Amino acid sequence: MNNYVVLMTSDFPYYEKFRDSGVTFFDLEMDEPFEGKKSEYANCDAILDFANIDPERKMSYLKYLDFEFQKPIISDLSLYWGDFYIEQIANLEGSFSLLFQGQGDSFEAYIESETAKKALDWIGSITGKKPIQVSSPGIGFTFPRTLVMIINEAFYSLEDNMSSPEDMDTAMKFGVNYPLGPFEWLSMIGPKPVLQLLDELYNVTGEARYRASKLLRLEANQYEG
Amino acid sequence: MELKKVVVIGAGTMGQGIAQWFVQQGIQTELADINEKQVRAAIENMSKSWDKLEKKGKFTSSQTEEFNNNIQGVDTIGIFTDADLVIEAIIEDEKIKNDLFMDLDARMSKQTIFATNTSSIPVSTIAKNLSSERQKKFLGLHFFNPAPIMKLVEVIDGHWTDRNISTSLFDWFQSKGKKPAKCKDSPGFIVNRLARNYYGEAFRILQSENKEKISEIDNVMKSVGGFKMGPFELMDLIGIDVNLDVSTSVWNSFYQEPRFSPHRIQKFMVESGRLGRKSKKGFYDYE
Repeated sequence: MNNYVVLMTSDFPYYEKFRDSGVTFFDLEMDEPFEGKKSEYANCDAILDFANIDPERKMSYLKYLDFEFQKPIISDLSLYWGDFYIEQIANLEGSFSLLFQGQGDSFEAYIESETAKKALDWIGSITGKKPIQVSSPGIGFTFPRTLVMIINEAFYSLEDNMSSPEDMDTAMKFGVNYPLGPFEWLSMIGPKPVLQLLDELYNVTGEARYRASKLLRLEANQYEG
Repeated sequence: MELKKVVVIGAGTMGQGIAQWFVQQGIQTELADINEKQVRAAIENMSKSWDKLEKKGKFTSSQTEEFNNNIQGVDTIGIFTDADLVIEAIIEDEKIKNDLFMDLDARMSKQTIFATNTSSIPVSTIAKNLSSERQKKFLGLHFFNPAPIMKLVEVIDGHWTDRNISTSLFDWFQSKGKKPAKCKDSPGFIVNRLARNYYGEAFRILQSENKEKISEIDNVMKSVGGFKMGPFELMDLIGIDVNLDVSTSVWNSFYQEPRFSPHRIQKFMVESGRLGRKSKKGFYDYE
């Protein structure tokens, strides 16, 4: 019997699949996930967090879950400095990256306990993707971090009027066999998570290479609006 | 647009592949090089390749016969002067390319379109000394290795390129099954610019040489991202030295923009002779 509490924002991929999976499910925007719900948390094996929110809110929210419920937490840390979160949150026993939709059959998973392993296997059964264990979440794991850098460069190229989105997609798919072009990937993920991860990389490392393109920032803000 | 005669100059890997693809489109093609032996070897390779493809049922015997009739090897003096298109695929040296095109400009038909397959020199730099009429007929056509198989051709407008010519060529390549992508004359064009961070970010995640982490990153990019090869195994295939050269060239062209900055691990690898598959040692061992 899978006894999990799933917390999710509605923009997360696989939202419907998790909502209909039969476990306790709270939409962080539509439901009241905490008030009067202590028994749900007390009886669960683990809290599975899929909240796509800004880094400061994510940290305080995870700290609240950690302190309030004292249960294992497994969290999607695609947009965050995962190594730091793991260090700061005592009950954070695993993390994973599913927000960025790769074209492969697996997702990155960092596992610290047997409970986390079981929970990640369950997440895999819902999404149809296999968890592959990585040595650390780093900042935004490996695939999201690499992908946002490719998409950011495509936006800088647009700023330079170097080529069109369609031509850039064609070039990357047929010149170097990428499974999708940067703008095709962007249309699946949306510009906001791409910008959020670039900003996290820039804030954590201080390196100029992670500065987001102005056009990407504009697109993300329009998207939000 | 109709192309009846094409000249490919440079019988190295790229020139051979480009010539082979044009022949396979039923176009009379000349392959030219200052090294006659290299031209002969390239044509022999093409012939062998067509024989193999005929045995596999990809081409009929009459097609391969036609291909063999449509390819001719020449030195650079004896080329068709009335060709519709000349594609240069010689050494990446600005002066040598400039000299070659100036010579061709004087000798060839005014109607001939000139193209360079350069991957690192600005198209407009190569066209700078040509007559103003020829500059309008000068563009970049950047093929990818192996050219008969890889569908992409980057169609690059130089400063003076007549957009009607580049658009017509774009349409022509599309009609022949290639996947052309149009871009402006900018460092690295599309692919060599956008792909830089596939490698660059892998180095930042790796931080220091660690065989397990190298394998982990490659595995993630393939099994999560769906890429055919991971960044490190791809660098081993391309040549770590070649990859470093391209990275350094793009980085310098953008005045040391940090997004393109090469990584110290690349440099260490090259300096210690670990160049990838060709040296049997790279991020992985190939003994």
